[in-house]
Order: sequence, then structure tokens, then C-alpha cells
Amino acid sequence: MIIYLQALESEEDRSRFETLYRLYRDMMFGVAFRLTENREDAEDALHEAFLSVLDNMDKLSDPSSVATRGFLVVITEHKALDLLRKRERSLPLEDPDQLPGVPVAIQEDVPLASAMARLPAQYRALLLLRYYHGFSVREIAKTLDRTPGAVQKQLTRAKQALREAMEKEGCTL
Amino acid sequence: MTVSDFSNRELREAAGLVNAALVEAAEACVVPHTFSDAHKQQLRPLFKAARQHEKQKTVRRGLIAALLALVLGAVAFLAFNDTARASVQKWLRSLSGTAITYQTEGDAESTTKAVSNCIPLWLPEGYTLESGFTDSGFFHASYSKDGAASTIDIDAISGEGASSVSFNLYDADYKIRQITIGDCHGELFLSNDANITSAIVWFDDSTGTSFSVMGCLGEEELLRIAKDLEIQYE
Repeated sequence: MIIYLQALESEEDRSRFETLYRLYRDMMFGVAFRLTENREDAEDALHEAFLSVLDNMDKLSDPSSVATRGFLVVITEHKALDLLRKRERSLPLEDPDQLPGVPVAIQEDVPLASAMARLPAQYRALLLLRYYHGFSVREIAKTLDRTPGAVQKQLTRAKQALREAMEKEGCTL
Repeated sequence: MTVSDFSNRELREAAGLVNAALVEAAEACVVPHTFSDAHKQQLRPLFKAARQHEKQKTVRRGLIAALLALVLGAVAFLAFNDTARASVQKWLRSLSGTAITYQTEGDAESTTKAVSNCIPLWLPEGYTLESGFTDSGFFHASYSKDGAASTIDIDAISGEGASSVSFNLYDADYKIRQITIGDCHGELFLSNDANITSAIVWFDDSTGTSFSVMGCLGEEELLRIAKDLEIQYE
């Protein structure tokens, strides 16, 4: 962890990162392990996720908030699935863009939320970053290592997938 | 029904519920973990980055001192030369904090146009486009090459309040000199070390746009890229 801290300039950021690391390392590793089903890959994903955290310290002001925890989960999922996508080059997966994330159950009777929860992880992450965390397209692009154009396109596809999921369930808005 | 049938409010509310449920699900996934020895190998680049960061801070201080001298010299020169003042004052403006910042807020009226693309008609052999995007008056393109010390980055900034350029340089021993790209004034920051980034920056007052090219390149290469740039506006 000391190495990660060296990448941060302010004492405040270092202290906050340390808290995030201690509180959520095991949860993030668990998420990555669940998706990759492999300890080495999960560790790689966790490392990549922490690097991403370093770049986003300004957005993680409250380590205990549900927003911070949600962001860490989304980033970890994204990094884990990125590893699976890279692996796809040598071991073809069915459709890397449709890979599911951590299964999520919505207790409330809100069809739109239920449909969003069931989307492939990539789409779900984009919608969460955009509409829950309030990131701009450019911020999402930076966080997910994508171009803004690609993010905009994927956001449109995510909403399209959401609409189709709603229609499949026989829901109308 | 179309995609736009979801309002932002509905999406925000749904996303809030999904985020809470996702956190709950993730907290049930906890697996105790300590990084392995193999992980130390992954951390090497971070060590390097941290060292480079420290070096960069030192370099910035040196560079700022050098630029401050340059600006003071320019101020003295401009104070006694009306012609020079009229031609330069539009783009050479200030240093800000630890960053080198140029602004294009000149007295003369300028046409503000957003750059949609900057296509290098020439690049050193082997470099290909790695990434690029335009957003709110900002254009960026990055060209990479296997085995090269760094990417070549081309940036253009236009639009209100966006006409500034900041550098991240890694060498205190820069040669700095005035250059001209077409009809535009600019400056070249040339490192003596081929593995350290050099930069060129210039300003087009007629469009209110600042441009920069950065990379581990020599003076001739940087100037050739800058001069052979096809610039497209929206």
C-alpha cells in the first residue's frame, strides 16, 4: 500500500486512500474473484482498480458513503471484466460485451431499476457512473480508459438495452 | 417507445437503487486477501512513476524560474517596443502556480473556432494513432510506437476560457526558443535527453486556438509535425 500512497501528493489524499484500502480491499478482491474465478486474475484486477482509485481521489471524499462503495465496486467489476475481455483474444468467450457483473436483486417494485440491475456489467456501469455518480461523458471515458465517443455510443446502447429489457418484461413507461 | 422515453430523473432514481443493491451484493462477496509476491512486480511501474513525479516537480521549479526570466525579459522588451507589444501581447500572458500556462486573451478581436481534428501529415516512422477525442473545444490525439520512449501527443484548445496550455516536463535543462508555425508565434522546449519529452506550443490568434505537440523527439521532428498539421474546424 505504501507504493500506492507515494503516487498521491497531499496528506489528506493519502489518509483517505489508506482508509479505502483497509476498508474495501477484501470486498473488491471478492468482487474480482467472483467474476474472474481465478485468484491471480482477481489480484491483477484489484491492482488495476486501486490505480484507478488513485486517479479519482477527488470523487471519493467520503470513504464510508454508499456512493464511494458503489464506485469501487463498479471500477473493480470493470477491471475484472477487462481482463476477461483480453483473455477472449486467446480463449473466445461468447460475447465479451454481454458479460454479467455481480448479481444484484432489487427489493423495491421499480421495474426500471430491476431492468438496469440485470443489464450486462458494462452497460450497468456506464448508467451508474452517468446517472448515479453524475460523471460527465469525459469523466467516464477517463475512468474507464475509453474515448468519449465510445462512451457516448455505449451509453446509447445501454439505454437501448434497458428499453428492450423493459419491453421483454411487458413494462411500459 | 424510444430510448429517450426514460427521463433523467427516472434513470437517476433507478441508478440509486441499483447502486445500493450492488453495494449490498458486493459486501456479501468479501474474500480476505493479501497481495502476493508477484504483485510486487506489478508495482515496479508505480515506483518509477513516483520517482518520475518527484523529478517532474523539481523540473517544473527549474523551468518556471527559466520562464520567469524569459517573461521578465519580454516585459522589459515590450515596455520599450510598441510593435513587439502589439504582436506578442495577445498570447504570452502568465505563469500559474507550478504549471506553465499560456493564454490567448488578447486585445484584438479573435474568431473563436473549435478544432474538430488535427491530422499530422507527417510523423516519425512507425507511429500510429492510439487514441483521440474532441470535447468542448478540446482536441487530443496520441500516437504510439512499439518500443518508443513515449507517445506523441497533439493537443488543440479553443473556445471561451479554454485557450490555455499547460506542460508536464521532465528535464530542467531545456533549450527554450521562439519559433513560428505558419503565421503563428510559439515556443520550443527542447530537452537534451532523447528519452525526455520535448514540446512545442503555438497560438493562432485568428481562431483563438492554442496548439501543442509533445514527445521524445528532436527539434526538426517536432517542427515538422507542427508545420505539417492539417487542422480542421467545426
